[in-house]
Amino acid sequence: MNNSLVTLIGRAMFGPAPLDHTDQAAAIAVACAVVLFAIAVPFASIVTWVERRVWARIQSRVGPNRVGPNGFLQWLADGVKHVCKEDVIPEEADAPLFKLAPYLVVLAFILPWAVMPFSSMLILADLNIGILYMTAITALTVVGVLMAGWSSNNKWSLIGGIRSAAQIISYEIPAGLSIFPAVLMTGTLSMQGLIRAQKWEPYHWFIFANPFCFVAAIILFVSTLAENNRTPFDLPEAESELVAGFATEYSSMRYLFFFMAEWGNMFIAAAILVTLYLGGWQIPRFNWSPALMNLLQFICFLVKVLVLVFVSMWIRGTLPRVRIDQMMSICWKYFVPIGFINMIGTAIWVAFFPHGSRLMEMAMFALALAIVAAFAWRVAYFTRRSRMELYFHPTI
Amino acid sequence: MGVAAYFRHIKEAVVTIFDGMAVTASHLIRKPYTIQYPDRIPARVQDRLPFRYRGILDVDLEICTGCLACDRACPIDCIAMAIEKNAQTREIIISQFDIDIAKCMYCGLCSEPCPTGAIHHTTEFEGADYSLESLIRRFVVEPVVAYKPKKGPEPDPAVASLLERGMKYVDQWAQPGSDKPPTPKAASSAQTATPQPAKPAANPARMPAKGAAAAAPKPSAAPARKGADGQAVTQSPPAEASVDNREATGEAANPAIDTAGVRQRDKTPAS
Repeated sequence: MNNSLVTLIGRAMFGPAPLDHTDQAAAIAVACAVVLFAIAVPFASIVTWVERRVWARIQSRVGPNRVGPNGFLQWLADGVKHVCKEDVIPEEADAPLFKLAPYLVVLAFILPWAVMPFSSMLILADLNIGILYMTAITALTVVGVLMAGWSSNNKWSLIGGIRSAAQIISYEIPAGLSIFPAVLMTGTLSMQGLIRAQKWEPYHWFIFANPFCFVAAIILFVSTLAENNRTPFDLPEAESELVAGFATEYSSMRYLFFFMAEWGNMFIAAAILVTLYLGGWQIPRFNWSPALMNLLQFICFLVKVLVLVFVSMWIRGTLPRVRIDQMMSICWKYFVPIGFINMIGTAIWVAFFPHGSRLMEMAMFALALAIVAAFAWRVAYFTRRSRMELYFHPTI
Repeated sequence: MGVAAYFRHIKEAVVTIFDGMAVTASHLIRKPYTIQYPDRIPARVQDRLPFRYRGILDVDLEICTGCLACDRACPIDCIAMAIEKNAQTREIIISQFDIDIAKCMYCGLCSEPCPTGAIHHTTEFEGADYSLESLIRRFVVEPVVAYKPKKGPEPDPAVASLLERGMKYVDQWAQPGSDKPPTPKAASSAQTATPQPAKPAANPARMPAKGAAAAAPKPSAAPARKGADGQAVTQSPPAEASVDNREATGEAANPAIDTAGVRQRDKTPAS
């Protein structure tokens, strides 16, 4: 744990000063700050543009392409527009809570970045309860959302807030149960520990370790979608029923905060899944300088996360919103029991194969490849049937 | 819910989402339908519209005779015209010609009676502006002398080209359903409608309507019209009468009728 910034700072403050480590600690701190400012905040904004372009292509449209090259600066234009708008606080609203709520939501989006394992060294604090911290902090969103819903003094907001609370708390359970299989196999809660237990080859990722992990990874992905109020679980802000749900009364920058947190949480949700089941930053070992290796690891991590974020956009462009009772039934009737089966199954699996089973890993990897192949065949079928002109270029 | 139903639900959810994702993925690689108007299209829409498209009105003041037929024909009074007549030179001076594009309903009734095709619809249709005031098109900057049809072909080539265009416009108006050049069939129908043998577009002398009526060897219908013109000085029949007349006689562009219209309108402002 020498690489951990918290450890280093702790030693510097309370123990004998490790002079040889202070430079390293400072370097890591600066790198993390750069990553936070260069990735966390812009990501949440730029992803709005990416998402709109992806939806547009899914609907055979073009999407925003006028502000900047291919509309890339659309997020900046939207941000400036929101900042310039009037910040309305309703007269009947509970003003202190109303003002506080967006900051709590943003807090729940900023704090998880502390344990975000970008690379083997690029982590702000490698807590030994990293994944637990992550789950606990992301659940803080519900406080902000419920606060926003209640303090707005508006029925739509209140229903939206209550729905959000019910949804986030419900889906915490399958999400937590789906974290267990990975934790059972490694015996650690540290983010770096979970990644170090995996290898760079895809078939050594935990998602392919056994069938239970495969299902658990899928449940974790869907549950995080639900926790982030993403379609098909965007009931708290269902436009057709609740105007904008808990954000109905918000305007200007406060409104933007909610949505920045929502889009930023996509990154965090994807990062959790990548860390637990998809090998994190693991890349093949080379005898290159640590800085270069860390850069490559960082890119590897980022690519995996962005692929998952893209899938989440793609799901949003595909599936309609589920009904509130369907949402609850998916969680309690399907995900929770299956989550328990996954947990117990993995526990038994680990008891029988403490070092994993190479045969099962290969079989699961082959199954995944088969699924991808079948999917590609299906896509080709629909493409052929439509007899439409194809256009692979991402920009138009 | 039985165990079988439970697993069937799971299977259905997985299979349908799988297929749905495949459908959207196939859309993801298709070419978007969107036509990116107005700046990313191969050719301007205005250039591809037919000649007779009823877009925003325009006036070629060089060939406007100041007859006020358009002003009278407009059902919603969006044309404001003021003309004066110089008693010595018998010239008509147009001092105002405003068209309120905001009011205009693009009915085309103003360009129909125009003897020279001076007022005509363009293919332009983008009229968005920041103020209502700027939608009033003022064509007369300072008073101008109205066009007077010459005897024989038009000497000024610039005016001649305008006139040619205007007459083509008027002719096509008189032949509904043909925005193509007149075919022999159209000419034959013109012959059946009126006894004159001249093919409208083919006769260059016909272009200046009044001059053509006076100079060209007119068929039998023309003298009768001239006689009617003589009466028109006293009777002053409304311009609509000539419009109705043209519609009644069929699609053939009868230069005599145009002549009659121009002459009547010459008299009206003076009286």
